[in-house]
Amino acid sequence: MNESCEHVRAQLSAYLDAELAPAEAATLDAHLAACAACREELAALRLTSEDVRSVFADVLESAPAQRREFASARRTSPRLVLLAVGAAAALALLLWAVFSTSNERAWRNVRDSASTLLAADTTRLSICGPLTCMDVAWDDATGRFAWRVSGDADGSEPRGAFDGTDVWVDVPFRGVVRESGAPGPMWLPSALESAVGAEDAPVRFGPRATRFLLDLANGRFGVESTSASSEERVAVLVVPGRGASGWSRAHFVLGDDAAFAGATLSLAPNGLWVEVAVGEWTPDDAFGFGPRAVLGAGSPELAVARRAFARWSGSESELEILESLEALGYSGE
Amino acid sequence: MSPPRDDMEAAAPHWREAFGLAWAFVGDRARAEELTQEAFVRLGSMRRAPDRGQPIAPLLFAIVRNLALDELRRRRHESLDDDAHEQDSRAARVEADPASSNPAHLADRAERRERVRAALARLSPTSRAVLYLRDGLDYSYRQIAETLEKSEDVVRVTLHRARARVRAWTENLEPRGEST
Repeated sequence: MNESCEHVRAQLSAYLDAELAPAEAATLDAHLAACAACREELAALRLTSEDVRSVFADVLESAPAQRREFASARRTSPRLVLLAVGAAAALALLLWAVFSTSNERAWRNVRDSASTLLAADTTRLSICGPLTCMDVAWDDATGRFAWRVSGDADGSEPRGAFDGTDVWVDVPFRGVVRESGAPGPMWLPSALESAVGAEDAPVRFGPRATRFLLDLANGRFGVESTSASSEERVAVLVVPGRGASGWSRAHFVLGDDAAFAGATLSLAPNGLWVEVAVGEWTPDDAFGFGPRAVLGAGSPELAVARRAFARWSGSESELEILESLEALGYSGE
Repeated sequence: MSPPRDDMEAAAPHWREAFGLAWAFVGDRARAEELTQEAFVRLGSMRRAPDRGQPIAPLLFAIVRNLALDELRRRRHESLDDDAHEQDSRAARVEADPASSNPAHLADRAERRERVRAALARLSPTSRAVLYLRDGLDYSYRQIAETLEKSEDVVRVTLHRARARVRAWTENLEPRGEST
């Protein structure tokens, strides 16, 4: 075997696999055409490869069937858990955006709580806005997601009663509606009562609204998630409301019967406010918002929010607010 | 937008391929099945945002690979602790067929296959995995490199050596151990 043969044989394996560059392959072609010994070597290698293939084919052929018990064990809430995960990811990233720049400890608390929630195999996603609250969960009976809404999409009437086939218990939401930045929580029922029918508090409900927060997260972090475009596809729902004060807000709550993590985004005349709450539901608790941050003008998060809001609303008015704030050099708290 | 995927469901068509990879690494059918099962469970419990359009197989294979490598590390550790025959344990782990120790009638394809099987058992787990992805699943070098987190050059050399060894052991040309 001469030097040329040695070189060729080192490459026969890749040649066999058609993994050589065209020029290399041509060189080998030429050599093989003239060298019977190397052709034999190639034939032997090919035979070995075919033998190996047949052994692996046997292995695959005789692979045990997949056991499916783990799948059925998870059937109670499989897709919802993933939904919740997606929602939590979006939420987490959003919160990170806020607190990485302003309140690291608060963010850690939120993150830890969200992890705890998810580790507890969250079975329900509660998504609430100032006028509506929505629960999504997996319905074993029908094998589909079931959902219900309290409070009509148009805000005309709380839809509290459900028919007998409904699997739901009451929405475990303890909500707060803040108007004009007034401090203190309010109970959702009274908030609903006071808000329903208010002309200046329209509620947008559906995919467009959902896009708002998703875009907020997507635009900045590339998170993919799902929308509220159909009852089976709800993962994150943002229900913005617009009060007399000019606030627009979106509530974003992830939780189960025991605990929750939530955030409220409020686009107010003086900036984008983010309020975060984590904790356990108690029979008479208030949705006490904890740490708060205001995104400063010029911050990347605010830029993202602006773009997202423009896409969502198609309106420039909110942008004008923010831009004027920027022009004023507004820089947060 | 599409609903989030149930990763385990999406990965189900890849069960056999994943099992094959686990087998290639650990060489033990029962353990390979357990590892594959575990990989699916882990996949299902991963907390990640659903990503549309992303193939699930690479993630599944990466989990299988990591579980298998953990397993192999554990074994090595245990066998050192036990002062066991570490050199032989690798081959012993793979289901060697008694027929493979027969003198060869290499013209007989079935028997030759058994010898190949025994030869594969002597390869290092990583070499076997590379061969499996190439000859079992027809992966390109690049795909193999990505799946096993090796460079394409390493894949190329590993394949070359692994085939040479399998051939040598199959034909009793050059029986010698493989360094890992």
